[in-house]
Amino acid sequence: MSGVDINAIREAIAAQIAAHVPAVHCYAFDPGDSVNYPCAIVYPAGGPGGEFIGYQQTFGPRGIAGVEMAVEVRVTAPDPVVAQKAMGVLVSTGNPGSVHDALMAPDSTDGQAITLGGVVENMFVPSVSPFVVRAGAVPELVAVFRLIIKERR
Amino acid sequence: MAVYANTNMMLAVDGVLLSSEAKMVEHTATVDEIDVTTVDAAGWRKKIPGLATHSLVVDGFQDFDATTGLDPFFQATTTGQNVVTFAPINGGATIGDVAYIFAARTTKRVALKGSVGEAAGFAADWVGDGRTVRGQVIHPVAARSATGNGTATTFTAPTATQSLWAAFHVLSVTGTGTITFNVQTDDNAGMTTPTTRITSSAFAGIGGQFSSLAGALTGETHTRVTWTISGFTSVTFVVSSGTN
Repeated sequence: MSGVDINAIREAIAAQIAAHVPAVHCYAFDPGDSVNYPCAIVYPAGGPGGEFIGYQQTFGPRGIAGVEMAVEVRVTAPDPVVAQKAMGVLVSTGNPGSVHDALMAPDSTDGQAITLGGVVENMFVPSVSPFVVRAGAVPELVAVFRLIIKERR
Repeated sequence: MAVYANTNMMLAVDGVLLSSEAKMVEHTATVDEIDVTTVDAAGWRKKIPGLATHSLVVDGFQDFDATTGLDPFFQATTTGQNVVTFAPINGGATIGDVAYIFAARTTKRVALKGSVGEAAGFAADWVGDGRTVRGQVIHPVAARSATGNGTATTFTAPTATQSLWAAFHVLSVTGTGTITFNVQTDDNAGMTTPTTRITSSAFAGIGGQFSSLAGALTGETHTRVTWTISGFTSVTFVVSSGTN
């Protein structure tokens, strides 16, 4: 935990999902069109005020910065019902395929903070968006998890 | 006139550095209003100032860690006197940076605040236990491993109705031992004939102390802090002083 390292945070988020939901192909960075489904892709995100990194959340030289990230989950299937059910599993909780549960799996000794293996001070997942159908060469069903991260500057 | 942003402030309470956890700090000084209106006041109240007081309010992110967290510190210091220093600019990183120093007592502790899904917060209020002093940093937050002398800086010597004040904060120690501080003054920048004005207690661990010496210190122009380390392999501390 030394500074806000966005690339390390993205890689840690992807690794966290991959470790708990092996069926999902995880990408720390958008690889373009060459994805395997179902997949989870980590993006920088903006909060309600359009803020990606809030550098000054506390005063000191090792003060806390706030970072908002997004995990876009994509599924595809010839049958739209199958795609919707697959997405339902990923956004649900209490099942081995839950992306939420994967992200929120405690990894610190106090059982509270989610540090992504020591990369951040804490992370939590407040919400996921509704499903959206995205047209393209491969029609996709997409949902986006919102991640709020606290890290020392 | 310059405009300052609250981007890098140092806030120490006793032996705890709060600045990297605090997200809001408010230090307020007020004076009682005493009504002296007479019947011939022609429709306007007349008031004069009475006793002064000051208070400190801090909001921040809570840390429940049993050994390094803020919550154990706050729970352990609910009644006693605390020593407070805050350096509002530059993190108090340079000798001579402005620093407010005072003793205070807690009046409110909020161990946890925030809604579900938000970062856990804390809040704490203090009221002044005596005056607040606008002084300067004479040793920034830094670790020392051996006895030494700080760099001299100019200061305003107290008159006969003023005092020299000093706030000491020992923030972390390595090993076992003690550290003792002296605040010295002299009439020249080289500190060739220093006089020790304030001596702290011997700190055997983290903690704070607020001390003073009555003026006048006529002719004195420079001040510094010296420290004597015995046993400790490293000590991180911050010292500030001022005249009021």
